Amino acid sequence: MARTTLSRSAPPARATAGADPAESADIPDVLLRDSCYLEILIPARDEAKRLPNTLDRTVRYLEAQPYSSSVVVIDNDSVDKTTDVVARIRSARVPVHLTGCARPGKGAAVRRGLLTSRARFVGYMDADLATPVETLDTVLPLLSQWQVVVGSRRAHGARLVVRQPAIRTLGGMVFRAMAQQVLPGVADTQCGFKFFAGDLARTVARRLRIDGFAFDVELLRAVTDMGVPVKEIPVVWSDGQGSTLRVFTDGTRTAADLFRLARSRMT
Amino acid sequence: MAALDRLDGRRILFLNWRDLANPAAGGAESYTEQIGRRFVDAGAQLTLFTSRYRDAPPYDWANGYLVVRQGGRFGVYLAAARHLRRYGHLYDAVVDFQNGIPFFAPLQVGSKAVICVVHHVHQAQFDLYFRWPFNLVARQLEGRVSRMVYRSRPMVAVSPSTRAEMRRTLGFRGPVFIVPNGVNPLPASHVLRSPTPAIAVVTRLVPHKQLHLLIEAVPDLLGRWPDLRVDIAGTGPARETLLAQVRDLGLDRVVTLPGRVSEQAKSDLLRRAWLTVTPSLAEGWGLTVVEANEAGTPAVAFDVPGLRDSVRDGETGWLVPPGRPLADGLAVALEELTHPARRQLITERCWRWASRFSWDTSAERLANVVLSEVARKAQGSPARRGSGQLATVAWWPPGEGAEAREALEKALRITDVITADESGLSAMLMGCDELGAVRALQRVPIQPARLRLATTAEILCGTGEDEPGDQ
Repeated sequence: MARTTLSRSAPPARATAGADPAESADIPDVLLRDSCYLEILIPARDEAKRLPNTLDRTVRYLEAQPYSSSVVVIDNDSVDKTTDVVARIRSARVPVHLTGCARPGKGAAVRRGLLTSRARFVGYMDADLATPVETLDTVLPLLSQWQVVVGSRRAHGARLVVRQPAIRTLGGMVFRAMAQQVLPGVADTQCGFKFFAGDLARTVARRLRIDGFAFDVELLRAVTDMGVPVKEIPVVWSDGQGSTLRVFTDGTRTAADLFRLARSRMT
Repeated sequence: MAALDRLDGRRILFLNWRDLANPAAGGAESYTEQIGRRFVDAGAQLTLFTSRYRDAPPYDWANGYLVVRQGGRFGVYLAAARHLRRYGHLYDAVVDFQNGIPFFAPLQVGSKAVICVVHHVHQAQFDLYFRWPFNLVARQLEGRVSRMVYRSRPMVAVSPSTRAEMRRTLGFRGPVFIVPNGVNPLPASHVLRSPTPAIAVVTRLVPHKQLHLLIEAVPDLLGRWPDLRVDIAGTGPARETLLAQVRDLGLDRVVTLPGRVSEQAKSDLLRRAWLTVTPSLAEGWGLTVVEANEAGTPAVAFDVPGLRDSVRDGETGWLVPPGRPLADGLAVALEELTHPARRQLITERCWRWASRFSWDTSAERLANVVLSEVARKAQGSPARRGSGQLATVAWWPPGEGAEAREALEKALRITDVITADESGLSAMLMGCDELGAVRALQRVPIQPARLRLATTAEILCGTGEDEPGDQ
């Protein structure tokens, strides 16, 4: 097999990937995935350990469903072998896609996933399966009426299987108090299990800007601003070990993002 | 080869704490030597600055480049700083091959292109080599101080797992390129694969290679494979202990330690064996693994940094989760290798995997990094693609690529890799996701038919997969 490596001149300067805010506007067709009934996005940063089990369970669940579906892992600049995990999953019925998001942040990754989707319904869940995938049993029937269905650890009937560490509980209280200012009416904005009508998600995602953990609030805010109510359903939730959340750094950034959101609402 | 040719006439300084002539030289020194020799062949004017050892001449000439030896194990750092201050202006680029502690060249020649090459991250090992408080000092020098001195300068890692350690443990944020080790061709061997199960290991016998675990596993395996043979060739400080262990376990007739072997004997041993084993706790890479693969022999190793890159689990070998008994992994491997068809498939995969590494390609890729940094310094432009880990492969079907090709050369960076063959034209864009790649390729008249993320193995080898990963 003859291979040639070509010579090149010095490269011209190029903007850093994803640095401009207009990234959402111009996703070319080549990056859009085929349409299906339900698409599940899994943003993943250094999840090579936990992802195989999560994908396995998710794919097995989806294979048993009557509708067409696919799973999309969004590699958020992992240094481990997250990229390679996806290639090992094989399913005749449920395609498992891999796409990248060089811009760090769960918000950026989810946004990229929403904007490259063509599915009828699309949503995202955590790579550690903090909310069991079977929750979709209740989510999907509701989706056709409600457009937005999100898991909630505060809705009546929710259960926390594994308790959170105290520092995160405290941070969570501060966060909720702030989020309530921006988004009254949604008890739990941060549960990583949210599903949307595809068209709604794509329309809304174009306007989103927050890359960090506050993006959930921004996303739900954008939805309610369009006059669409958010349906919360109770979930069984366990706080996975090895979360990438760093309480202090991420907390400060999240608070700043929320503050900006609140201010933009007042003006 | 392209970038290498453009090194013609460039003056380059390599800093490496030992040179290949040093009796204590190891894999890192041969990396420096192999690449240095190819830089010289391409017309570069190379100087290697290194430490002295007993009876070594302070100035020496090796394979076309000048070797300057000054200072001892620690004095070499001061001597190098002095050399850089006095002669730094004579060089176009400095490549700092760090062995735990780098030479901090940017402090002396801040305006020059400085590239730092990391084989593996030593944080955990400093405790073995240094007493308190020197271990703490060493840890700071490798971590915090390096981070401050090298900042956004390009770094080179020899494997994705070294890169991961540099990010996680050392906290490096700047660009980290990957330039793998090549392989030295083994002499041709005409011995046949052993009809009975045979394990061969050829390596330096040092404690951290943990070969005692292999010997420990042998009694468990003898039940299922009574005619198993194990050869552990090579010499080193751990040999006596291993010999004693073999005697204590009464395995004299199963396990042999022939000592240092010739290249030919090594080739024969590896070709005869069913399997090689590397029970190390961590490596920067896994040279012995790829050497065995060259002979068509798969490897069993723990799933640890370095080895998880050189062993492709389920394809060219088996990775055992650390903490699990090695015997379990060996049993699985030997069982699979008893099936002739399966063994043939694995052998072919090993050959193909080993053939993806060569010192020519490695030298070319390091030259790319050097040249792009020289150009960046000359232009003074901070513009640089994100320093992330992702890479994207763009692919054009055969025929279409021809038109895209010329524009592609202009649009891409020198550290990106373009390959053209009968299966089409493909370009690997380092440090960007699919959307970043689309942006980078905007000026190319024909858009790629497919864009996808590169796998870790593709980033490591710099080329696309030859085959889909069939099982």
